[in-house]
Amino acid sequence: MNADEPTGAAAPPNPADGPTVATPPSGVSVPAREVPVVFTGSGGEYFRVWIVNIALSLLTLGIYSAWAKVRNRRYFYGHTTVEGIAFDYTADPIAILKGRVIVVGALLTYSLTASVWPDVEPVMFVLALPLVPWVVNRAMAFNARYSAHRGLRFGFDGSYWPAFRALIGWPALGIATFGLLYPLAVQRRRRYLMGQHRFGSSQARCEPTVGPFYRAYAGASLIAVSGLALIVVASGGLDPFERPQDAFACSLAPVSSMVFYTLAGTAATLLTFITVTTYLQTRIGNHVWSRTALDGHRFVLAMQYRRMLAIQLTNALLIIATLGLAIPWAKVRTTRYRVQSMHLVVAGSLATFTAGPRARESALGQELGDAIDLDLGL
Amino acid sequence: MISLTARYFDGRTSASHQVTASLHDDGTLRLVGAGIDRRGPLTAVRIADRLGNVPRALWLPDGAKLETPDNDAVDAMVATLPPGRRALGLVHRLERQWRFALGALAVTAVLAFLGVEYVLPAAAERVAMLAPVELEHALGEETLEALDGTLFAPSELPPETAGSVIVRFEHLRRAVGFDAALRLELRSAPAIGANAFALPGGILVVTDELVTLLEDDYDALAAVLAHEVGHVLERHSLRAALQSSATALLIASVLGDVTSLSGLAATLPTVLVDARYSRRFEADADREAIRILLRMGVSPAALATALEAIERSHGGAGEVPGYLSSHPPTADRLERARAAAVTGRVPGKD
Repeated sequence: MNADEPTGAAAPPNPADGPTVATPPSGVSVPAREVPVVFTGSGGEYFRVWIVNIALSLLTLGIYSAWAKVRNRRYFYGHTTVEGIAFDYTADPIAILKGRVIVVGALLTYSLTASVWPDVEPVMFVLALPLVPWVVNRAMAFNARYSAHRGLRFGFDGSYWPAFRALIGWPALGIATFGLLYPLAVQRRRRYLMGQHRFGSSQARCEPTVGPFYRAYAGASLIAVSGLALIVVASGGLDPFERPQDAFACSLAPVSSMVFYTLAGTAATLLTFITVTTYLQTRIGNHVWSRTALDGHRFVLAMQYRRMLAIQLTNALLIIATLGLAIPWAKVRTTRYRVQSMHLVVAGSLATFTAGPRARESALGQELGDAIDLDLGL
Repeated sequence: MISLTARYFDGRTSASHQVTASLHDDGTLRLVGAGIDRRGPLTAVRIADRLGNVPRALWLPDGAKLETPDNDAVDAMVATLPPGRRALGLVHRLERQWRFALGALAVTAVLAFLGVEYVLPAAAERVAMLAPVELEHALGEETLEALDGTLFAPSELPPETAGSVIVRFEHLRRAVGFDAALRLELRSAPAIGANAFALPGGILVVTDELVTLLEDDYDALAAVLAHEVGHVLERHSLRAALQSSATALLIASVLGDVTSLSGLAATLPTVLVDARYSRRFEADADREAIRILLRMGVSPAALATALEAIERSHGGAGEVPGYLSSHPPTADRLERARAAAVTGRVPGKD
C-alpha cells in the first residue's frame, strides 16, 4: 500500500511500510522535515455561520444551541489542515444537549440549595470536589473521541487518581504554599491534560519542564502588579474591589464621578486582564506544545507575545465598539495566528498512524459522562 | 453520473489515498483508486452537513472516510437522496447568503431587545418581590459599609439640624404607612456633594451637603426622602442588581461559549442597559415621590425645588451623555413634578 502524500514528495519511503509499525526505530536516521499547520477560515464566512446559529438558538429557546456548538467547532476544525488534510469534529448534538440539561440542572440545584441553606454550601463544595477528576476525564474523552484527522479518532485515556493529583492535589498544594508551588501545579495539570491524549493508537508524550512555568508566572505577576496600580489610579484612588459601582444604591441625582471612575476602572481592569492572560497563554502554550511529541514527530508552537497582544487588544476594542458583532472576525484572527504559529517536525511520514482501541465503554455513568461536555481550553 | 475526487482513509491507518468517487444512476457509490475498488449504496454513507467551504466528510459503514473539497459535487449526490436525508442542508442555505445572515442579525437584535426591555425587568421584579427581606438587609449593610470605607464620612451636622431632619423623616414614615424597617443615615460626603441614596433593605442616606443646601425647606427635604422611599417600596436596588447580572449572563450565553470574548462583548451593552434600567427606576421613584407628597398634602413642586437646587450646587460638572446617564434629564423631571403640582395628579408611565 502506497501512501499518497501531496506535499510529502520529498519524504523518503517509509523504512518499515506496514500498518503496525508507527515509530521509526530510534537510531535510524530519518530526515525530519517541517510541516506547517494551516488555517483557511475567513471572518466573513464565519460571521454568517455564527449569527445564523445564534438566531436559531434563540428562536428554539436554546435547544438548537447544541447543534450550533457542533457547527461552530466543525468550522474551526475543518479549516485547520496539515498537508492539506483537515480535522473533523463529529460529536452528536443530542449527546451534547443531554449533557447541557444535566449540567444546568446540577448547577441550578447547587445554587438554589446554596441560597436557601447557605450553611450547606461548603459541605456541597467538599462533596462535589471528588467528582471533578471524573468529570474532567469524561469531558476530555468525549471531546477527543469525536475529534478526527486522517480517518482516525483521537482519544483521552484518563484515570481517576492521576487526574485527582493533577487537578486537585497539586493546586491545593499550590494554595497551601501561598502560590509558591502554583506554577508547578499548573505544569502538572497541563502535562496530565496533554499527555493523556492519543491519536489513533499513538500516545502523546508531553514533557514540559518546570522553569518556564515559573518564569511565565513571574512575568505575569509583574504585569499584574503594574496593572493593579493602573486600576487604582483609573478608579480615582478608590479600592478597585470596593468601588461604589458595585454598591447597590439608587441615588437622587446623578453621581457623575461614579460614571467616570466606573468606565475608566473597567477599561483598566480589561487592559490588565488581557495583558496578563495573553502573556501566560503564549508563554505556557509555546512551551507545552513544543515539548509534546507524537510517535517521534514533534510539535513546535512559536507565538510571539507582542504580536498576540496586539491581536487581542485590537480584537477587544473591535468587539466592544461593535457590541460583539466583531467576535467572529476576532476568533478567526486569533485562531489563524495561533494555528499558523505551529508546525510539526515530521520524522518520516504522517501516513503510518494506526487506529486506536475502540473506546472502552463503562456501563455505569457512560451516558452521563459522555454527555458532559465542558469547554476546557487546552 | 456524478463524480468527484477525494482522499480516502481506510479508518485503520492514517494513510491517504487519492480516489475517484462516482455515483451511478442506481444509487451505487463507487470508489476507484490505486489498489482500491469499492462500491455500495449511497444511502449507507453518512454524509456530513455542508458547512461553508469546510472539506466534506463522508463516512462509510466500516469506518472508512472520504474527504473532499468538492462540496458542490457532494451536494449534487445528496440531492438524489430521499428528502428525509437532507434535513440540515437548510442551515447551510441560510449561512451561505449575506441576506439571510443579516436577517438572522435582525432576529437576534429584536429578540435581545424584547428580552432586555420586557422579559428581564418583569422577571427581576417577580424575583425581587419573592426574595427574603433578610437578603436585602444583608446586601444593604454591605453596601453601606463599602460606601463608608470610600465616599462617606460621619455626619458633621449640628445636633439640632440632624434632629429636625429625623423629625421630618418620622413624619414621612407615618404618612407612607410603611412599617417595614426604614432607617435614616446621615453622612458627610464632600466627594459627592448634595445627594441622597436608597440602599437595599430600606436604608436611606442623606448627605450633610444636601441638608445644608435645602436649609429649612422642609417640603423639599420631604420630597427628597419621598423619592428614596419610592426606591425602597419598589425594591429598585435589588432589582437593579438582579437585572445587571442577568444581562451580563444573557449576553454571554447568547454569544456562545463562555470565553473572555463574550465577556468583553458584554461590557459596553451592560453599561448602556444598566443606565437605561436606572433611568426607568428614577422616573418610577419620582412618580412614587409625587404620590406620597400629594398624600401628605405637600405640593409636588417641592421635588422640583430640591432637584433644581442639587443641579445648581453640582455646577454641571462632569456631564455625561444622556444614554450613559443614570437619571432622566433634570429638565424632564422638573417639568413632570411641576405639572403634577398644577393638576394634583400622579403622572402616568411613559
